This record gives sequence, structure tokens and C-alpha cells, in this order.
Amino acid sequence: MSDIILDVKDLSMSFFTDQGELPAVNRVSFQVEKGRTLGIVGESGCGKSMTSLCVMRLFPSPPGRIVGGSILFHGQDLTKLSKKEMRAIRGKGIAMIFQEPMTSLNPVLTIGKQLTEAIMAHETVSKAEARARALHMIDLVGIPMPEKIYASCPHQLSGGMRQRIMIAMALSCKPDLLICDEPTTALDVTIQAQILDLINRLKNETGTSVMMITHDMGVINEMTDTVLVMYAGQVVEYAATGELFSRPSHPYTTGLIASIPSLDREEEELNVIPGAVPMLYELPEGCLFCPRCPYATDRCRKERPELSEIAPGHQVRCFRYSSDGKEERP
Amino acid sequence: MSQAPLLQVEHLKKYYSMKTGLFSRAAGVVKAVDDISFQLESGQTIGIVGESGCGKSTMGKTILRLIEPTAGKVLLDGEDFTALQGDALKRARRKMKLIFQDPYASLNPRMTVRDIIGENIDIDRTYSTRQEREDRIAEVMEQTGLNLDYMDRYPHEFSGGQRQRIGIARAIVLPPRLIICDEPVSALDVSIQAKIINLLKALQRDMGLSYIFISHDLSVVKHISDRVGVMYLGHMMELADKRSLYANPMNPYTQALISAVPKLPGETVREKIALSGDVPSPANPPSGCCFHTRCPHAMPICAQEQPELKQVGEDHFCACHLCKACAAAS
Repeated sequence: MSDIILDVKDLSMSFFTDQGELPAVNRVSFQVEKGRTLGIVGESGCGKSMTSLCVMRLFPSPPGRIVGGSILFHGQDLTKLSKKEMRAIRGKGIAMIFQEPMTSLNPVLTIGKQLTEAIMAHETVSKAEARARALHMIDLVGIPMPEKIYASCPHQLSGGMRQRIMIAMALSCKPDLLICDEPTTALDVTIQAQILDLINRLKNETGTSVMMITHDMGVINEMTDTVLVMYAGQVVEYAATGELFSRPSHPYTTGLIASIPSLDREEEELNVIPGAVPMLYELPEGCLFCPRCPYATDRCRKERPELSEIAPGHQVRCFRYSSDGKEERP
Repeated sequence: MSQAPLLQVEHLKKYYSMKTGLFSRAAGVVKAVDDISFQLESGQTIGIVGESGCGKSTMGKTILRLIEPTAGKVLLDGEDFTALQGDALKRARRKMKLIFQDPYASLNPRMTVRDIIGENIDIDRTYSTRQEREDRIAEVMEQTGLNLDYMDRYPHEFSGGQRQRIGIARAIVLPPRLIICDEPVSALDVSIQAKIINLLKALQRDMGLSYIFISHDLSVVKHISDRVGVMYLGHMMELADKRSLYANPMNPYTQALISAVPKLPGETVREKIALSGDVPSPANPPSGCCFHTRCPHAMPICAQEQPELKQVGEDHFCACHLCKACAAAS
């Protein structure tokens, strides 16, 4: 398959702190195909944002350092690039939008200045061309009166508008990959629907691949083609989105889905996962999920399971599934 | 029901005047809460949903008189709470407590858990001996699932979910009749959110509490409430029994809100109603129906006249010119 844009293999990133080496991203592998959307889901501290920041090489360093694995973007290993080479890829090849649009825009520069800056940094265009492109992008993300917005400062815009500007900026250099880190968490539901719709529409028009990082299973279901479920820095399940919801297999995934109140069903009590996410400096010895797992056995407490393929393209990190794909229920 | 409802809110209004210029001339009013009425029976939960800026939190605080209402009445157990002063107010306030959204900001960082929970007892001088006070603190800590070893720890040593439990313990240490929960689970991960919701439901069952549950999350509100009110720009748009509201939303805003929630597989997917634009500024609200600028079914009358909340079914009220049932009822 030649249309794999991003191929992450065994990526590990650790923070080196007073408490020792903390594995924030622990041997994570995934691929993003052209024009497709990959979702990464998990709770706070599971390493989903850190994984995306590794791809952008934007994680705090020091104390963070990539300790193993590779990130192949169009066959080029991003972990080996110099700072200058990486800067040429950010914005041009891979663009990113963040959760809080207010803190990712410069409050003292006009929207127009910020948009043209991005375009002129990556392409040799005249100021007039950059301005025309910026106005086109503002129009493309569905903001009326682009001229007026072009001259405004971020504080004059609403949260939804700011996020649209972030998307316009991210897509202005036609990146091959767009990383969205919780793009709608800070927004209201009706605005969230608008923004998700916009990301989908632009993805289809420009053929950009998307990495969608979220904690919302509903967003995962509606937006993504494949999903990575992360827990304490590890991938615990990796599958096509339809497959994941029809056959969630890791106890963490099933627990996570079951703990969401439904709009349809009525239940007296919500399903809960006992315990809490472990801190990176007190990770259990065996399977990272075993202290909270209802199926944990002695083996789980001693050995760490590897990812095993239980169906084509469906990987699960759990001893309940042996390598030949059969489910072993105790 | 022969008995008066626990809480009656009648035509509650909170207007803020805007001042401008050197001499603070009045420049207009912001109608944060505009003519809200509802009732709450003992042991029941009413959910209030709406987007940011719709006045749902202001309403909660106005009911408690943390913010003095501009007009309207709040009757608690048939007693006019809005007219109380001094000691009578202090006594009545014992019946109503508040749980906040941000468990990081709502606990005093320089007090131990013991003192945070015990402060209510100290102010009220409920118990004469130290031992009784300590016993009661231990009792509520157990009731809310807090480890007694943590009694002398400070808030920063706890996770978000545990802090929210401390907030709940503080609210129930002197058993109230009503707790106003202002987005109590919005800052928490889904698996923690499920635990807190289960705790709130268990406490309601055991202590016969009533809740006003304010949230922007429609599925959480559906799970915990008996009745649900939908607010937009300070107005109550629709108020109904939760089954009726979710199965048969009458107001176009409610319909759009429910359709905008990203769904999980297996949930009924209604046709997405895409709302254009943002929520108008409450400082400059549209004429007539406050929703007409974004409403897909707006008619000429909507821009002129504000619709009243009318009964459209058994325990189902809706404010909309369009809805046929409303027209039939008038």
C-alpha cells in the first residue's frame, strides 16, 4: 500500500524526571492512510496528546525524549530530522489544531496577519497573493464577510469562529495530515456539530488525512475510520471504527463505552470501571490495566501482554485473546 | 399531590445593567435570566440544559440568592425564600446547597478535608461536642466514598473525582433538602463521571434529596433527571418530563440540540439539524423569539413577538410560535 501517509512504529517517548524515566508513550504503532481519519481515544493522561505532539515533535523537551521507534511521514523518519528540517514540515506537511483556540492564536496580531504569516513562511508568494489566499481560506471555513474578519483581532471573535480560523490557518498550506487535538471540547454542542461538519467537508474536498484526538466516543463514531484506544501510554486496542463498536474487546474499551450515559436507553446505574488511572511513576508490574480489570488473573499481574491480532486489522492487548484470535474466557 | 412542591420558582428574573463611559451611564440591560418558572417535587431531579451563556448557572445562583434576583419569587417548602432576611435566611439556606463545576477552584487549598467538610457544622453549631463533629465528618466521608485516612490531607493531594466527592460531602454534612449541582461532572473523564453520577443517585435514594442538575451534556442530564428544562439566552424554551422531551422534542432549538450530540452506534440517529451562526450576545438579544435568528423554521411573527411557555402535552411545556400543539393550546 503506497497511500500510507504516516507510519508510526514502536514509538516510545519518556519524560526523564526526579522520579526516574516515565514512559508517556509506550511502543505505539499506527498508520494513517491518505484521505482517511484515525481517531485516538482515552482518558486524561493516557498519552493521546503526547502521541500527537511526538508526531509534530512539539512535546516539552527536556524532560521529554523519544527513546525508540520511528515516525515515517512519506517515508521520511521525523525522529531523525534537525530542528530546521522539522520546522519546514510543521504547517506545510503536517498541521495541527488545538483544544483551546484562544490560547493558540496570538492576541495582539490581526487574523489576517497570522494567516498570511503561515502562508508566507512556507511558500514563495507575494503579499497580495498571500492575502488573497487568506481571504479564500476564511471564506472556505464558512465565515461571512472575510474582509472584516481579516482585519479583526482574536478577542473580537467567538470560540467557534476562532476554531474556524485555526482550521483555516492549518489548511492554508494544504497539509497532507491534519492533527486535531480535542478540537471541539471547549465548544458548545451546536457549534461542535458545525466544526466537525467543517472538518469532514474540508477533508473530503482537499483529500487531507486527519488524526482526531478526543475523549468523546460519539465523536470517534461519527468522524473516524480507524481507532486507537490508549491507556497509560499504551495502545490497548486498534481496530476499524465499525469493528471496535460492534466488537469492543479490551476490558478497558468495553468499560469506557458502557460508562457513557445513553440518549436512548435508560439505565438505573451507570457501569463504572473501578479504581483510577495509574500514575506513570507507579505503573503496575504486569498488565497496566489489571488492577482495574474484572478478568485479571495471576498471569496478568506478572506479565505484560502484547498486542495480538484477533481479526484482520483488529489488535487487542489482552491475555484473554490468544495469538490465533480465539477468545479465551476464564 | 396535596402537599406543596419543595421548590417553586416563579417568574424569576436577573437583569444586569451595563454601564458605559466616564459617568457610568446606563447603556442597557443584559437579561441573564428572563422570566423562568418551574416547580420541583421532593426527591425529584430537574435537569437544566443549554449552551454557554444561556443563563443556567446564573439561574442556579439566583435561586440560592448568591446573586439577588431582580424580580420573581422562590418558594422553598411554601416559604418565600426571596423575602427572608438575617437569621431566617441563614436557617433557610441550610436546606439548599451548591456543588460547583470546577473541583480545583471550589475547595480552599489551605484547609484540610476535615475542616472543609466540618466548616458547615462549625458555622451552624449543630453539635456541641468535638467528638460528635468528628463522627459526623467520618460518616459523610464514608458515605461519599472517601478514605478516612485522607481526613487531614489538603485538596491538592486529590484527583478531580475525589475533590468532587469532597464537594459533595461538604454539601450533605448537614442534610439539605435540595442540592443545586452546577456542571458537577463536566471537568471529569467519562469513567470518573459515571462514578460521581452513581454517587449522586445513591445519595438521592438514601437521603431523599432533590437536585437541580445544571449541565450542557444532554445524555448526562437525561440519565439523572426526572424533568428537563432547556434554556436559551435566559429563556426557558421547553420544559417537560424527560421521556417526553427526548422522544418528542417540540421546540426547534431542543430538536437541534439533541440532533447535534455525536451519537454512538445503536443510538437513534435523527436527521442532523445544522444551526448556522453563533448564539447571539445576551447584551443585544434578537427581537421577538430569541432563537429566531438561528431557527430553521422562523416565520415573520417570530421576529416580532416573544412566544410564551405553553402547555402542549401532559407535563410538556414549550415556547414556540410554530409548534402546532402550542397553537392548538392557545
